[in-house]
Amino acid sequence: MKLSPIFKKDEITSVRRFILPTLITIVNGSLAMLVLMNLFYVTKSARATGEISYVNFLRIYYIAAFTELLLILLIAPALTASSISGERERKTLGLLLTTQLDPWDIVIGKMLGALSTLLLLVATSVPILATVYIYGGITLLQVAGYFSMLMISSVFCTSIGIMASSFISTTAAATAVAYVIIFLSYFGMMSVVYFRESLGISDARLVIVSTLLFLAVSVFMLYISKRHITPHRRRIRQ
Amino acid sequence: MITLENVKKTYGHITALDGLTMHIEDGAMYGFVGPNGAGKTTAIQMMCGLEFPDEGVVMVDDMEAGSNVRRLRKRIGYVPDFTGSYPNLRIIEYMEFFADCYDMKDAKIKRRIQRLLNMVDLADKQNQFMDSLSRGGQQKLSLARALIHDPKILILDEPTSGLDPNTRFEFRQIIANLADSGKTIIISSHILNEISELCTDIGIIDQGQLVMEGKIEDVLDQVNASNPIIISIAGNLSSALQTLRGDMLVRSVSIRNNDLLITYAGTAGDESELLKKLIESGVAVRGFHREKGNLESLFLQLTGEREERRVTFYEAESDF
Repeated sequence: MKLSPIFKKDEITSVRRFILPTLITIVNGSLAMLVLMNLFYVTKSARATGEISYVNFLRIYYIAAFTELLLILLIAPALTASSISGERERKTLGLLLTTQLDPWDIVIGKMLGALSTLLLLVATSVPILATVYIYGGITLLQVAGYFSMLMISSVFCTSIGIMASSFISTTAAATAVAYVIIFLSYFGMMSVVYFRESLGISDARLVIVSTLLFLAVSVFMLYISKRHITPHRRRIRQ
Repeated sequence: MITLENVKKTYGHITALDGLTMHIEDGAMYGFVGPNGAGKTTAIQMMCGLEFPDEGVVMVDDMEAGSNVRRLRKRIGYVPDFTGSYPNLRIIEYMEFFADCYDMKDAKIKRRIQRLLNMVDLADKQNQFMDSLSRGGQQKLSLARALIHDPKILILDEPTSGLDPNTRFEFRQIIANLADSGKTIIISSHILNEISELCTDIGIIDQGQLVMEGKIEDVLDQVNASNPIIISIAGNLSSALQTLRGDMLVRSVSIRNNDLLITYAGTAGDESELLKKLIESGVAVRGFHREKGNLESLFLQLTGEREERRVTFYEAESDF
């Protein structure tokens, strides 16, 4: 299978920048700190009371998992909001469009570049989240579900970032717009989750519908990004 | 062959191209000249398929620019007036990236990259990062990048602007060598000497319209025809002046040092008849030639005339 040239180029440039090791250190450092602090609290409380609360161990997992999701939501737009606007600022977008590359190749290549960074962050955090298996209480299915949700969120957030980056010429403005859209989307989703019982929506239905909706919106965002960067004939009003 | 037929393009209230029509033959080295904001870059971007006309047609060979994009792009190499660099990439990686963008994967590509880097004298710097290159080096790399897929047409937009004289000379040599390989080369430039030295054809654009187009010798001949004939005479000028007054084709006569400058409306044959008449009437003619014109004078004449007309038009409008 042929790798996207844009993806390969972005990988080469990203490993040479300081940002990737910094991100890995910050994300895993914060997760490790949270888990260790919680473990310390559980152990200290067990020493004082002579009781071990397994609920507290589960809480460690939930807190770490939620923090990681939050970090992904914060990092994904920052990674992608400069993807197209950065090429435009460097004046390389026009050059890419004169090659054999299709605008789809550019958009997908950019997305793969951002996803690979996010995947690296998720993969390196697995040992920290795996601490929950010391005591058990979380099934493999739940862990798989959680990582699927992380991946869907990553796809959604990167597509929003790419869309903002292709429509807005400056990286700073594109980042701000991407954050607003993501905040509103997750706020909407959380509201539905919170009121799901009064709305009469079952958990299974909620998971399926929200997954499909997020993926459909992601594809749409990528499509309009591709359309926007493709040179096209202007419609003249008669 | 590249053809633009009655192409119009506006950006808001600004008209970039206003019925531009031009024809570029295969294998030509075409100089595209015009003042700032005349519409050169817009026309070039249309040829590359990066812009579309509001009206009119841009054809590259048998294809409309912008349609059949992949086939068209394979034929065109584009060197813009900026480098478009990735500071974190090495020179060799930059070339490999663009080879990949043209889907070039065979073993020959490494040799081709080396040949191109040798051509632009960057082979010994191939492992350096792009941001370590000077403006001249970056522009040479941009030229090598545009040639990676061996395009039939090479379009250069102000390639030597901002370069020092040495690099400009090197760049010109490279382009002259490329022209020998049969490529169609289009150069937009402000440096008119460069155009007259390099190009076989020229198009002068102003306010989105082509004001003159043709073979460079024909264009320069036209300039020459409007220049005065200089007659150097040894001795007394009076008999020469008498002969010239008797010639109906002589429009005006002036004296500069010991030379006569005449505005003459005749053909080359008429000119030799005039010379014969002068000699037969006993004038000691030391020299007889038409003053050479250059592209710069033509350019100023053409664009200046339009500017003058425009000012007159605005003045007339403001009277109302």
